[in-house]
Amino acid sequence: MVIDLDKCVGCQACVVACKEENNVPHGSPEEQRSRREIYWHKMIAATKGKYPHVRTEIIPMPCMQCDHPPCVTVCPAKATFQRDDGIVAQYYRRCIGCKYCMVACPYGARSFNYKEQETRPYHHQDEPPDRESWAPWPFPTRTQGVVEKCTFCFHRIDQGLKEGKKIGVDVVPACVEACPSHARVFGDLDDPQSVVVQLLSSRASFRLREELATRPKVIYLSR
Amino acid sequence: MRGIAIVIEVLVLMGVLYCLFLAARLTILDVGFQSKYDRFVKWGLGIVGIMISAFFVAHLTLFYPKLLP
Amino acid sequence: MERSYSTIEGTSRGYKLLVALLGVMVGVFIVSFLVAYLKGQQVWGVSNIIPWGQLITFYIFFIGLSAGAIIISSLSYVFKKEIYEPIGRMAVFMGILLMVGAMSFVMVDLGRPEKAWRLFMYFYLNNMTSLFAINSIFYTGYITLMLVYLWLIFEGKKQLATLIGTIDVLWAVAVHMGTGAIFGLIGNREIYFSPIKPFEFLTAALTSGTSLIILTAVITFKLTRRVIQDEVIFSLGRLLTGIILVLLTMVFVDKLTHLYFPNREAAVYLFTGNYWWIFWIFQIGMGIVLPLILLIHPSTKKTIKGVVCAATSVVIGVFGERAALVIPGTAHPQPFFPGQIEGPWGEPGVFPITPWETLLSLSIVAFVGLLFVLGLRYLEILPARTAEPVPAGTGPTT
Repeated sequence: MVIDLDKCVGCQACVVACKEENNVPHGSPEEQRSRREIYWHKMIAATKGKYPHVRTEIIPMPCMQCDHPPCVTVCPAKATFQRDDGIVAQYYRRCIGCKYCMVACPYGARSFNYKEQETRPYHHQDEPPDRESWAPWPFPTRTQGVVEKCTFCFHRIDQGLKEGKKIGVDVVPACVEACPSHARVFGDLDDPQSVVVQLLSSRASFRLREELATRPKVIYLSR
Repeated sequence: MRGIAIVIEVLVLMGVLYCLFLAARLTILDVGFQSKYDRFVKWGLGIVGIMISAFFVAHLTLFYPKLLP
Repeated sequence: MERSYSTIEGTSRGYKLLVALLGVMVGVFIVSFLVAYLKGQQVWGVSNIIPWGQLITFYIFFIGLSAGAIIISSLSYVFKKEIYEPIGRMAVFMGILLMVGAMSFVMVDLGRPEKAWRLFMYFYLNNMTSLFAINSIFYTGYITLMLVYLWLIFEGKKQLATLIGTIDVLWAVAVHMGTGAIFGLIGNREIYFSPIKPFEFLTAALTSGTSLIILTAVITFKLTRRVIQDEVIFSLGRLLTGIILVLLTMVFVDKLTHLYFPNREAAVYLFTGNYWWIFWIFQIGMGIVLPLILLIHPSTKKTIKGVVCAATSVVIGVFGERAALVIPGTAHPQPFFPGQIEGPWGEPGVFPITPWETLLSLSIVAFVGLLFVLGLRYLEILPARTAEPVPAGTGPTT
């Protein structure tokens, strides 16, 4: 995924779209205060300098889907693994909830699911209570006690591949689709014809915490 | 309805656990530990069994699927 | 020389009261675990920023105590120092129980404990690059070795006990260095990342294990009206002094390494951030400075009270050391991007001490205590009560 920070305005539509798509709860105010809210996709603002000479970078952070993921190395139950296409996926059935991956993730991409969503619903202020009215989606909930994170909407990608659609053009993750300024591009980094590769060769780019050599696959184009 | 099913399942699991632990204790005694350790083995397995049974009650209460309405 | 061991009679009112109280605490254990399990882990202080709380702190603390206790017991059975024989069995028994306690802590902390069997499917369903998985091999072997060790001691098979004891001591070193490696190998958390962490953990285990043995020996022998030679406590106190000095060196080198190069922000957070007091008051103050003063100052080092106070201080201080690792280590906001990160993602995490988690931890400690008291009652762990102090063979005292 390539995110153009020049076009990103910090509206956080990607954050909300991710929560809608994956049935991630918004979190009650109490959960926000105690930092238990689940963010599959978060947005940070990093400020340098002192007022009035301040520069702020607004950086959307999904799971970086690293090529060398530290979370996969430390998971004792092989619950998080790297798929062939490079997406780091979570196998909730195996997860024992030890939270070691949460400690090891350099980007804070992982969240612990504290309670069962079906029986004790999360704070969903504006959702229709009848979930059948939503579009069908294989993983509407996770069970209690496991760790969850952004999946690059692999359900959309797998469905798109089955139907023969072009990834990055017809099928994109929810955050890419929701961005109003088209700051985000999704595609195959191995395909030299894809838009992402062309974008990367056009401007200066950086990844977060590159010194840790995790080789994240979310690349930012600087302003 | 679900409560009764949970109680039955816990009883079944406690029976299975009792048989397993009895087998373990008899194996330990057959292998050659003297019978003066019998009480130690019985108490140890008993305590572990009680803790596991308490955990079964909690787990089934939480995760037993909803039965027919 | 052959020494006879006996159980405690268990008829006094104090004993019955203690067992009843600890039994109630075991009930509290079950209740507080059920509450946390049924309501969800949000009743504890953990959050997505600080995922590990009191339970993991106690877990690494207890593994350290267990490894330290086994290494002290090896003074008697492996190094054959006769002066430590009265407390040898007690030390091995404590090693087993503390390990059981540590396993209880970690099982309770898991989000889904019923899947914990996956940790033991070595190389098949397990991910052996994970230190939890490597540690699960170490822990199962360790508990088995300790049980065999205790059995051999009870049977009186001295030579086999020495052999198994040697293996067990080396295994205990591996166990606790593995536990230290859980933290030391995590590269993104600067407070954790250090090759000296396994050694620091091992040294802290030795100090806390020695101190717990001193405390338990003095308290148990006094409450069961047995006499323990002062020289045992004093020599353990001298050993403790040496190990605390080694620990001081290790902590100093570790922190110096983190502070030396300009990317010292994490260490500065540990020293001056919102959890500075865990490091300075508990780890350094009560874990290193106060015991060293008590153990070196001529007026306190010759008294049993002084050594016992130093031991208590070390136990609390090493608990603070574990907490200073777990809580500020994850509370430190990760530097996703250079600059000051605004909003909650740039704030250090806060770990509230919640009643349910505290009750759960204390009740598991009480559970271990109950097992200890019951073990004293039904197994022959303490030396038989005699009228005068038990002689130590060729010691300098009478």
